[in-house]
Amino acid sequence: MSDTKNPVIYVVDDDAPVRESLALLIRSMQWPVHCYADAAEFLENFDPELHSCLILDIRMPGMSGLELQEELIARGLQVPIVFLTGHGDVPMAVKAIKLGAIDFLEKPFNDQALLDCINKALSEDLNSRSRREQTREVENKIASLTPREREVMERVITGQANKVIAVDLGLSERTVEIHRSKVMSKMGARSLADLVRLALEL
Amino acid sequence: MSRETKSSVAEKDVQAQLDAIFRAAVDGVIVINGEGIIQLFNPGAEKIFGYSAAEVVGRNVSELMPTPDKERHGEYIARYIAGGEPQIIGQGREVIGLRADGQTFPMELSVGDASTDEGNRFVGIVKDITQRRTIENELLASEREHRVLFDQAPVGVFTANLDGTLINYNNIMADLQGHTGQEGVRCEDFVVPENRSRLRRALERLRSGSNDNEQLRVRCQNKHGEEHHVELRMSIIRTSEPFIIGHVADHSEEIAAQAELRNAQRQLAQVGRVATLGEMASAIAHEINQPLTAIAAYAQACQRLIEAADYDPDTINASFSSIYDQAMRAGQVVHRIRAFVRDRESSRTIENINDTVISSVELAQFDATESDVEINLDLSSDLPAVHVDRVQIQQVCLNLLRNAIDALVESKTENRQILILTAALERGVEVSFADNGPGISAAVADTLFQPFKTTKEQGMGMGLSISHSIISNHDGRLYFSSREDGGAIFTFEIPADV
Repeated sequence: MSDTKNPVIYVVDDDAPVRESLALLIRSMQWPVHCYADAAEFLENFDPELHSCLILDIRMPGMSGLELQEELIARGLQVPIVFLTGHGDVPMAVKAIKLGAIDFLEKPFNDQALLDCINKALSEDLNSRSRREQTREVENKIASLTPREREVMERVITGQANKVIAVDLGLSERTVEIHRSKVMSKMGARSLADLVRLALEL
Repeated sequence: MSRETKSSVAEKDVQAQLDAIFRAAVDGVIVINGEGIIQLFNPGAEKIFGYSAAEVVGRNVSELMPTPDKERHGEYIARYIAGGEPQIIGQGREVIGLRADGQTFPMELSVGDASTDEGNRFVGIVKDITQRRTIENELLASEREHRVLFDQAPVGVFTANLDGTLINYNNIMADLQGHTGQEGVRCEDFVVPENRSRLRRALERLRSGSNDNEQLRVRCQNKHGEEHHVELRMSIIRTSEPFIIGHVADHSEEIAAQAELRNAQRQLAQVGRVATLGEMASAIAHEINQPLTAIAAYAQACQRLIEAADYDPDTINASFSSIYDQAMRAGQVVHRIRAFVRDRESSRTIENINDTVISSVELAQFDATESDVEINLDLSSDLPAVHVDRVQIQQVCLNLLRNAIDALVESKTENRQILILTAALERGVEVSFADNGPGISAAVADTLFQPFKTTKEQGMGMGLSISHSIISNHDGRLYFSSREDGGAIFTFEIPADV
């Protein structure tokens, strides 16, 4: 589990004065900051275990902000992104939002807007971490099922009656009932609805 | 020596000479008597008819003729001797001969008669004209072929005397010029008056022998008054009676296509340069935004740190230094833009400002039409030429036009109109752009030409500033005034060259 009390703010901007001033402003808001001048440096140092968000310049030489966003998605790394945009970058910002960015800040921006964005991004990070946590738990529970139990669960959640499942799998109805109660207890489900909800997490 | 002896010696000489002529003549010489019986048959005749003299002497000459002359020859002679009109004697004509091998052939026959002690004698001189006929026929065929080529050629073709009077010309030529089949038409009647002296000089060069071929591009006007661009090639044929043969190819379509292409390229280049200015503006915006972003962030960071009384004086001090540096950095960008506009290599040409205005209107027309704006022109036809960078002045015009269009659209003005007026000044020209929009408030008017002042949501605030610099570089001025009914007028003046 990551340390949800102590988030880290990543800043990636090729312009040193912008990067450093931003770092100072974020520090003045009492968050630790990690600054990088380009996408490659960030990718090298990014720690997915940390509770964090990313303030990312949309225009950069080499890998642009948008390309870094796509790279993170491709690598399955989930970090909420707030883009920094300039004049005329609206179409790029729209694309970034469609790809899941939290928001964008038009340069120059005021501290309150930055603060709001960071808060929004961090809370999104918490939400997505807890969702991922739940998913991982469900995955673990499913992994603890025997192959037969999994077959039974797959049919139970599609609404098949025990009798039908028994015929389908060539088992007695009684055996199906035993598998079914095993599935319920291993999955920690109190009802059929509960089981369906868990399965949907995946 | 006796007289008689002398005379008989002379007769003998004449006889010998005639004999030599008789034997040496290439033409056939045949002597017949009043009954048509061959008396003499020379070697020329032997060669033409294929008989030896020995074979035919004593036989009737009609054997040398095909039907029907063969049957009628006796009558011809009898009629003549009886005092009838001669058909051949003394005039010569073309008849058909019959060779020993049975072949007939065309021949020219002339006949003379002589009365001798032994009765009537007729002398026929025969020329075989088979070869001449063949050549004539070939010539005729070749002439027909050339006539067809001449008439059906896809280009105008003509022949002319050395003085330029046309001898012959084909239909395409006639179409090009308009007077069909008239006599005494001259080459120069085909071309427009401006091109005539050039054509005359070309003809003179052909006549004088300094050139055998001439090629020139001229314009022709047809009977409908349409102008054609043609390429005229003329060659002199130096025979005993020299003449000129020429052809004319119509290049109008090609030239029109080229002109269109050039026009399109020019417009494209202009649009390209305008777009580049837009890109430059975007790059400038980015460059200005960076230091501004840093300044804002430093300032607010310091404020927060000081408010929280949680700071290290060195940090605050360093931040202020950075704020100063970033402010200077922004200033540098502005200087660079000014320098860019000022130092940009400007290529000045002599222009009629009306042309520049019209081309700018063409570039803005699409925007105007899209935005329901009507652009009216009131251009003075009496303007002095100005020495300007055409593209720069175009950008100024385009900028003023787009500003006017934007103002009309943003204010949702009804019946949106822009009037562009050009006028001559005492020493220069003036161009004004008046719109019927809401005008510009006094407060905004004060900072109109300063960089980064804008009232447009998407604006850069660079247009008027750059325009102002451009006009200043042309030693002119750009200023704003209000219309009585509230619209805005932007006017620039450019001095004319002294």
